[in-house]
Amino acid sequence: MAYVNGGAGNSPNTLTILGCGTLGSAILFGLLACSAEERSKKVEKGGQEADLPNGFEHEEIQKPSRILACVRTEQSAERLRRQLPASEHALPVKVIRGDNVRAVQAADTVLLGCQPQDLDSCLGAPGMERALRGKLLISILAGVTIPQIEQVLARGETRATAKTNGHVATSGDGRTTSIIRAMPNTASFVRASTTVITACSIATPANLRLVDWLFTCIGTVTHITAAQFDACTALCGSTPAFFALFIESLLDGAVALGLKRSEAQVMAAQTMKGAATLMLAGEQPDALKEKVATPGGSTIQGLLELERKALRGVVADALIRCTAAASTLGSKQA
Amino acid sequence: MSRNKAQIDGLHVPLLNGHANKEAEGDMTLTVLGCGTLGIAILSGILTSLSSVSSSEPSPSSSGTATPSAQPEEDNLPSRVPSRFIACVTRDASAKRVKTALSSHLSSVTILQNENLKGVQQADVILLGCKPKNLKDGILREPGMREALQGKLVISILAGTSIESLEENVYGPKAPTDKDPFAEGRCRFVRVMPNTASLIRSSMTVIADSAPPLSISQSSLVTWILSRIGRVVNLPPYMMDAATALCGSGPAFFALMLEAMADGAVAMGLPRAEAQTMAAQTMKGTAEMVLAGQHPALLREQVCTPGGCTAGGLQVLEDGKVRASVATGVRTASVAASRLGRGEQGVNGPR
Repeated sequence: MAYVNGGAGNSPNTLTILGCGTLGSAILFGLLACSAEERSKKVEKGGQEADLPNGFEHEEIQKPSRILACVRTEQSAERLRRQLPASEHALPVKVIRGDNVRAVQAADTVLLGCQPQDLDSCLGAPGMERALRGKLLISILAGVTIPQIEQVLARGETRATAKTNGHVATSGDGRTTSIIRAMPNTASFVRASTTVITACSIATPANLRLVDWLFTCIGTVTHITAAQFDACTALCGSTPAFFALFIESLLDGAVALGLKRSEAQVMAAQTMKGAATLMLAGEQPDALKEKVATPGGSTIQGLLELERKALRGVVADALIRCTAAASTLGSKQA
Repeated sequence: MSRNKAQIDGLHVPLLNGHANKEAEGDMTLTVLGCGTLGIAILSGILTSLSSVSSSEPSPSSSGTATPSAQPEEDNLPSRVPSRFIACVTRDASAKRVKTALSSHLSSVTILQNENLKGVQQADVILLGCKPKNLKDGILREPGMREALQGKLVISILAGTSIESLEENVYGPKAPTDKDPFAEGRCRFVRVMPNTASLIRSSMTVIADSAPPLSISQSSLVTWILSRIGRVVNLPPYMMDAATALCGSGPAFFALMLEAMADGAVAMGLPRAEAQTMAAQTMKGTAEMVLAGQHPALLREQVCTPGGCTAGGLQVLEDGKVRASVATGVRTASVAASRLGRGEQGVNGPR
């Protein structure tokens, strides 16, 4: 199967998802939904360029016009093909099995979504490093840093050609691979992810704009430094589990009070959404507490109960422990 | 001009005062009696909904997610919805605030200052949004008001004010009965409880079941109106205290949790403002997942990948008995609410 090499002129701008697992799929479907929305907005406005959210200038972002999704097993390929939208107007997606290097050769941008333990076999495959030269590589591998990826690529190059000195992937033709690390969270599935991003030093503004656009399709985007990554892994990656636990706890109390669990679940989740939205709109947490906890009322009684049980200290400690654990994740990788 | 106002079941009320200022046959007028911030939020929500329906654009999703089941707004209109609006205020500042907030919809809105009776007379349905103090001072007891209220639905958003106390306020003490208030020449009070997120249209609003039950069209109208500012659930009156704890007090509990997360993140080197924003975004995203149908326990398990970092954090929460603390917190708030509701003294005194 021949793929048109992406890039110049009228050839398609290709995004290859290398390892399209659960998170990769969430991003894929978010991207498809986003493209569909943009397309329908364009149609509504009579074919003129629609105003894009977040002020993106249309011309400046080289958005993919087709997607190659690489999976390992035939099972995954089948499942993915089944879930793809049937519309002929949708962004074209080709599901590929066992042809990673060629899919990357055809790519302009590569999203790396394999399992962290497969990093070496995936990026170290013969011809892979060369195929990535001059391109943007976006990694969503948990616990894998940009220097680690650069090392794997450098090893790949060493195996294929003569030795190099630096740990930045370079070649005789002077082209390098731009590496950007992104960490979305589980809410990607409902396009409400909190994604944090760090970039290598050679990433261009165009690279960054593309990555921002890509992850805005599935939620919000924040740029952070490599030093902040572990704290953000905890804060954005792990806390959904903590918030889920809070909801479970509220439900336990609610059910004890006689509310039906299914109803209480919607009530608790909507209340949590409303609180979060208020705070995102600028309301400080302590101001919100004060507003709700009216003098002599029932809210302050509940709050005091939480204070007596040192909830704040426990939750803060949980986050600290989580961050510490995140920092050891990376060291488990090769 | 005779006008059939009876699209709301039971509202077969002849025009007592003769002057029908309605533009067209079939217009429904909603009067907000005491149009403060919450009244404005609800009006704004209704007007925005109506204008997006008429221009056949899709209703804006409050969260940007594409999952239809996560939409808080009901997209199916009841057979009739209000199309004309009256905002009753007392002070100049309040009138100004209404005017500013609803500036793009002023053709459908009339602002009446110190003309409550007129506002109620012209209403088909009333939203009671005054303060409990105004109620005590007789806002519903001025001459002519009882007659003006006859046969009308009055949706009360007054905090901590039961239907019994509202009826007692207007009609004096009466023996509990299951008869339709309309049949007795009265108005029909419905108690609803929005929460503090109403102002950004993300409320979790509880509608108390009525006895006797509202008709389908009355009920769907109330649901539609309150769905303009968020989600809605119907509960029996004896669940109001639990709902107060969960939905009314809930935002304060979540604010506390968020503060704690931000504290931990600050300890680990993130700046406060960024930590707070990311925590709030994550909180919102998690809520969206549960609203989309994800079971919280399964969500927790999914995030907690083997050998990952989340498990360690969760262990700290379990060791710290967070489940029991939070469950007790909501129960404590509920018990306090019911004790306050019964007028008990010393609810907040020493334990």
